[in-house]
Amino acid sequence: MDIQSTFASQTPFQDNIVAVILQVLWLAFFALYMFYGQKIQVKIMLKEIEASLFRLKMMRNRGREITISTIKSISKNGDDPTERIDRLLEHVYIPPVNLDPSGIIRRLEHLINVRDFKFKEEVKMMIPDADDAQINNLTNMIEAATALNQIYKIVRHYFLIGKKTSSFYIILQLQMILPQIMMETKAYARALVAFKNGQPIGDGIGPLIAARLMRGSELYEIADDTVIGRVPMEGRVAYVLKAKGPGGNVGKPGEAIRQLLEEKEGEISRIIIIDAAQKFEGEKPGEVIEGTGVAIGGPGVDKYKVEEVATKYKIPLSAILIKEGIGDVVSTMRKEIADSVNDAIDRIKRIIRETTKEGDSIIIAGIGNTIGIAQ
Amino acid sequence: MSKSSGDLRRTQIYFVLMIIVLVLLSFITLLQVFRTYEKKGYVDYLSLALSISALTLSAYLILQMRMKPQKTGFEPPEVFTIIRCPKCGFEATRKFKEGDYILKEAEQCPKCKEPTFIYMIFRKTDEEEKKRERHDL
Repeated sequence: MDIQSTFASQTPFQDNIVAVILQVLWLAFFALYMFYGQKIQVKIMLKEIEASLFRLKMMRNRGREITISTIKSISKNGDDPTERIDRLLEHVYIPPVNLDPSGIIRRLEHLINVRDFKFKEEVKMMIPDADDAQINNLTNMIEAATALNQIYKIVRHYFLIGKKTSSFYIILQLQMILPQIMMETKAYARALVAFKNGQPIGDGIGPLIAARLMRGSELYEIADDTVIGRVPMEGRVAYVLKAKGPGGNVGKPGEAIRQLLEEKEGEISRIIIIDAAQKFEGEKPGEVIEGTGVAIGGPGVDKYKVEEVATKYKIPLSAILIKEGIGDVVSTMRKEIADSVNDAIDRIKRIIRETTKEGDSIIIAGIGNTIGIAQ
Repeated sequence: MSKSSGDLRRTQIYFVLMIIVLVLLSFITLLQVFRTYEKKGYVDYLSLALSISALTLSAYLILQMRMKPQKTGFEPPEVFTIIRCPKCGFEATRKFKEGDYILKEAEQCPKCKEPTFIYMIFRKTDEEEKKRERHDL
């Protein structure tokens, strides 16, 4: 007789033993959960973070590979850029001290300029015969790869700290913000592809509208990498400015507006700034809204300059904002955003008609990265 | 690239073999359970539960294997270029070509033979993205 049939013939005994085993198991589970519940939870969370970290590492490596292969394909001197790229990926930016905030904007601007210059110089050293647009696009690409590397390293740091200390709260915080981090990382990966191909990105909607307005007018460079054109519009004179394209570049809109206002001694009726703005979940991408103030993102240098000079000459400020999701800002411009151009132009014209008189002068600034958009 | 795809194929073969073995064992166990029930009139719940779990696990593994790999963001999007003739207003959409940028002078207009320009470059929004954004609130 085999074991199975032995047990099968003793049903009451077996029922009893199964009940005892189940009760012991329940008690063991209860005790285990009471004393080790949090530790088990920590282990589960660590496993989840580890999976995301693996994905981040994969994305970081892919970003690095694309950057190296793109530079290799453009470069004609045949040098291997791997070492230089690896050095740039580890490059850190140290913000100015804010213990004494006086003059911080000047110091911040200096540091940003030095950093930009360094990245561009490094690209020039790798590809000496590259044109300005290529240098700007590749610089943007390296910056996206650097961001992927930094994100991976920060997440890995907190993961390892959490693992080492078994601290529930460090791991919990990391797990909580991980979906947001993954979304941002995916956006940087998309940005890298857009910069590689020189395609316009969502952030370029401001320069795109400015380019549409200034097309056909005579242009000149008013500040570093920033062009301006004098455009007749609705019986007024509009000074339309944007970053110089089609290379990836944000220009110096703050400095350009300051210089223009100083030149005109404040004889400007209104400043209209067009920029992409982060949409709330539930809002449609490409939705156009209006506001008051200086709609310039980034570290704050340009925003400060415009606020300063506009306050000095008491010039009203209007903002035209195009709503975009976090993933749309740095990825190739999606159709819904590109389609918002005409609506934004109609609104600009309406603001000009309603708030200024014929013969007045106004400034229209298209803010953002002008990659893939000329003028 | 070829090395990693080779590794992937090997892993898939291991998984398929594992699933086949798992399903076979589960069916043998199920058969045993039915035979025991027929002969002795007793249901071996433990074996039944184990074989059903193994079948469920196999189904789950198959589903996981058939799932599309998650997107990382490096997948090239579908990008289009709209060219427009400033004279007659002719408009045409074509796939994005390397070196395209907005306001670049493009090919000759097929209608009036004037040079056209790149009016717009955009990417097609994928259905997954649109589905995520859809809501009734």
